[in-house]
Amino acid sequence: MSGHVRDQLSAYLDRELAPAEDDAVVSHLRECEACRSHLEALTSVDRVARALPVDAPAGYFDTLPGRVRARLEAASAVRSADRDERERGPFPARARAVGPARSSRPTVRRPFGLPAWTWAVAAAVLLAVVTPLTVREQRMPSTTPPPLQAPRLAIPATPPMTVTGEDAAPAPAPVREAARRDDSWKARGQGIPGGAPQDLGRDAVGGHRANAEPKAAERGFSVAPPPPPVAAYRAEPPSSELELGAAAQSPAPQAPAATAPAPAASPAAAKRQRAPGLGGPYAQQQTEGQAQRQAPPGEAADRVAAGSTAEEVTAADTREGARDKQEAAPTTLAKSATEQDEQGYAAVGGITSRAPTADERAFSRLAAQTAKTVGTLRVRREAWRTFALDYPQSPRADEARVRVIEAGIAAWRLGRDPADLGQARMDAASYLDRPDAAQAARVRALLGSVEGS
Amino acid sequence: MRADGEDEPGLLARAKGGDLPAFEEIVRRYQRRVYGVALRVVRRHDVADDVVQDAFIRAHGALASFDLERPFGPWICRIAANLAVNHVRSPRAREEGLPEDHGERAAPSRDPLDGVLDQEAQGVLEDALARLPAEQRAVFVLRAVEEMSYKEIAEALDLSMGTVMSRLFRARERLAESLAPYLGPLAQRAQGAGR
Repeated sequence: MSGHVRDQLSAYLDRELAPAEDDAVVSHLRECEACRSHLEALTSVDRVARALPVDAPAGYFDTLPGRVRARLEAASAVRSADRDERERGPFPARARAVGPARSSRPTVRRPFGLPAWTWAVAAAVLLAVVTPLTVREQRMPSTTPPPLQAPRLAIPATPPMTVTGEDAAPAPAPVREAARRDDSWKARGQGIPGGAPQDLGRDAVGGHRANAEPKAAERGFSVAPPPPPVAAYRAEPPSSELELGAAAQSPAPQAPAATAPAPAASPAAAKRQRAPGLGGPYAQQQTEGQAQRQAPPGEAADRVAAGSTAEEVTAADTREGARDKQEAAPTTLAKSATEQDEQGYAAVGGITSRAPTADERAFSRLAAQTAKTVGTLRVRREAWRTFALDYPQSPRADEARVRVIEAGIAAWRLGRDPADLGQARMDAASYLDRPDAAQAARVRALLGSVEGS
Repeated sequence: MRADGEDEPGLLARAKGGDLPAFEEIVRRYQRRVYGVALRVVRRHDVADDVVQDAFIRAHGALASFDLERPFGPWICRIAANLAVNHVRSPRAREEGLPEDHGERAAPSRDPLDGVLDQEAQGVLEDALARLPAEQRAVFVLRAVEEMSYKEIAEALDLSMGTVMSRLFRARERLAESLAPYLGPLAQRAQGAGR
């Protein structure tokens, strides 16, 4: 046989050669000392590798099965809660309420079968639909009533409320179309990175103003400070989309931001949020809306956290699918003032019209749970770990990782099981190794609290 | 129901039906093997722990489609190897740099009577394994330690048979080169032990 077979010895060792090749190698090995030595070397490599110790920290294998089980249990609990919440909808009393059905659902404690805030939301929707028509008519009394324009706010896919007199306008079709567009804007807005809803809510209007300015500027808007009621719609022209687009170069965009529907914690709050900068019969609400903008951050944050808006209520059935679809869709330049408003509004986070994301829901559920026994603390620890693994890019992932450590230390303090302490230390070490560890000081403090144990 | 004495198909069938204690027993039976695969590829305990847990979690999620006629061990090891390689390839792993024990000798052999030679050889091999590219290391571990076939390795790591063969060849060549000073005596011991 000519030539060595060194490059085939690895496969020969594993019996992965074709029969003919295998026979050839066997024949060669009978005659070649060098190849036989090399084959022995490869065999030794495998043998030493199999003998390598696999050391794990003491007690690791005692706790691993339980930890895996706890993670599975936690994940199952999260999935069940999530499924239940989806089935109920974010607004259980109104999840299937559309139009007249709103008032037909009896409840034990609420008048007309609905929570009070839902009426505020409905009123806000009414204002959002009717007010533009009213203001426009006030601005240009000599013009014919314009067709219904897409309201700046995201509105549900419901027919416009009845308007009277000069405000009456034809064509429900444009409104519905706008409503659909608004829905998609809402969907786009939900994915806008802008920190936690609390961040947006803290500056329910101010923060939006701050965020809206650069975005609006990109689209040719100039963003004004909160305008007087009538001025907010000063730039709203009649007739065509082109005129609308041109006119929107002036201080209109504050209207979207100002009308940002922060989730209503009360009917009055919702009403105020819906009717900023408007004249006519809504001046009362305008004033309140301006006052609302000065609300303390915590109150605004609570409203955001409540996450309830009329748009979400009536668009609940389509929101999920629309969001998924729209988040995948590329953002294009607005072609009309309405679209520009929508995109500008979406750019600042869609504010209070967006529904909580999956990670926000999961985080809220976990944070609301209590654990008072060693077992439940361990389950909680694994639930936080699962959250961090399931949502690694979430703004809350870092907090979840720290809570893994906290829960572990709490379990150890209760049960004094060394495995819990060991796990907590490992989790802390892993966390501190992360380049994105934002709370290293907090974790070091946790470690310090168990130092010497 | 007690699970520790139950046969594997029975445990797997119960685990498939949602019996968590049964799956916990499965974890108990395979954890060391899976951890070994993971640790040998990722070279860090904390990462190996993540890999092991994720492997079992994924296996649990895929139990519905798992054929009970198949052995569970190779399947879970494949999952772990894949996760381990993915981790090593990840940008985060590259940012974190080499494993903590890179360049250091491995822990001494479990049995002090194995002899200094074996301990040194193991240490040298540990270092050499750590320096292998992750893909080669994974293929070598699955073959030399887990004794998977080339076909199984190819399926586990989504490679062609030819790629498995070539990576294994290169891995063994590099490891053999590092063990060269020890190979003579090691080979003699192996022959003496009736290899």
